[in-house]
Amino acid sequence: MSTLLMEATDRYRRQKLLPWLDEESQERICRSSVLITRVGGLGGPLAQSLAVAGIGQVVFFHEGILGEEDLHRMVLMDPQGLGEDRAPQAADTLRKWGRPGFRVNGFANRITAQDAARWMRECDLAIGAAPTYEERFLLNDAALAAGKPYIDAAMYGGEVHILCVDPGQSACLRCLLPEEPPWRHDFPVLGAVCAMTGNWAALFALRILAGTNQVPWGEYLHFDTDALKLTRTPIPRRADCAACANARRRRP
Amino acid sequence: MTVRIELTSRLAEIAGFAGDSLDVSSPRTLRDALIAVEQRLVCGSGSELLARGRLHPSILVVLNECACTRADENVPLRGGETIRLMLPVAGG
Repeated sequence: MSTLLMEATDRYRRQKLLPWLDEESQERICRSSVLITRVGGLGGPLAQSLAVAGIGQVVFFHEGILGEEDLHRMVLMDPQGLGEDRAPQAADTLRKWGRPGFRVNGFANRITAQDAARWMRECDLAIGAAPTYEERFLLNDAALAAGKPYIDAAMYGGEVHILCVDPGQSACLRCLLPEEPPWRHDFPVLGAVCAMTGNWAALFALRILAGTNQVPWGEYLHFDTDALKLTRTPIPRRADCAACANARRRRP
Repeated sequence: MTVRIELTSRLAEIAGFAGDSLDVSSPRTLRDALIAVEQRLVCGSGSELLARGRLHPSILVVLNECACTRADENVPLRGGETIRLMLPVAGG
């Protein structure tokens, strides 16, 4: 039995009781790498859930300085770190939660197309958790170009949004949003809704990495936490989509 | 007979209204329903939700749980149906 598996057997015994997560799946998760843009209110809980589930590597990009207004939701940050770069704080917290051998590459800049292309060669999955469409489109495009899955996760007030993209098979973010919507920077936000959204994305990411296909590919998941209403809307692929019309399909 | 038009929270916030209804006693299409919404947006606070006089392309139009494209807009409406207008969100 490999050392990796022995460690996984002890720490992850309870999650391997799940019907879709056996020892082989756990090994796959432990060998996987995920690229995330932003690890704030949504991406932070997302990254933490991936770390504690045993993922091999998290790569993230998160610019900016920690401010007082971040502390109500950015659980990876250090309240003693006000005025300092967010990225190193998040990286330090994640490392505490990962298994032995867990790697974190955290960058204190906004992700660029070059960053995304470089890291999608190494990573198995990309997740957009940024409050800007620019970063989400960029990651969507890079994942598709690499033939890798992309998960888009966002929230606004009480609304939750998730889209899981299967390259070359399902609709992508640009199929859903052919033009960038009206957007307000100071969005209303509660940590609990952020964390819920991030953990939905983490759940789907873990399912993909474990090798199960039990993922709502190409469906726009919208959850209104005020009305307690969940809708699943299949999104048609656009034949002329610049991002996914010629995307490579992912390897099984 | 009427069809119900619903707007999700963020969209309703910008538009200034959460929903509407459309009389379909005489033949109406999905396009007719969207025109009714567009007219309300022009007159109210939601003009930023319009692009070139029509609903912004980022607004998802869902008829009976199915996403619709511009090619679907001539679909006739039947009483009791629901049209949901959804604006994907950005935040975290």
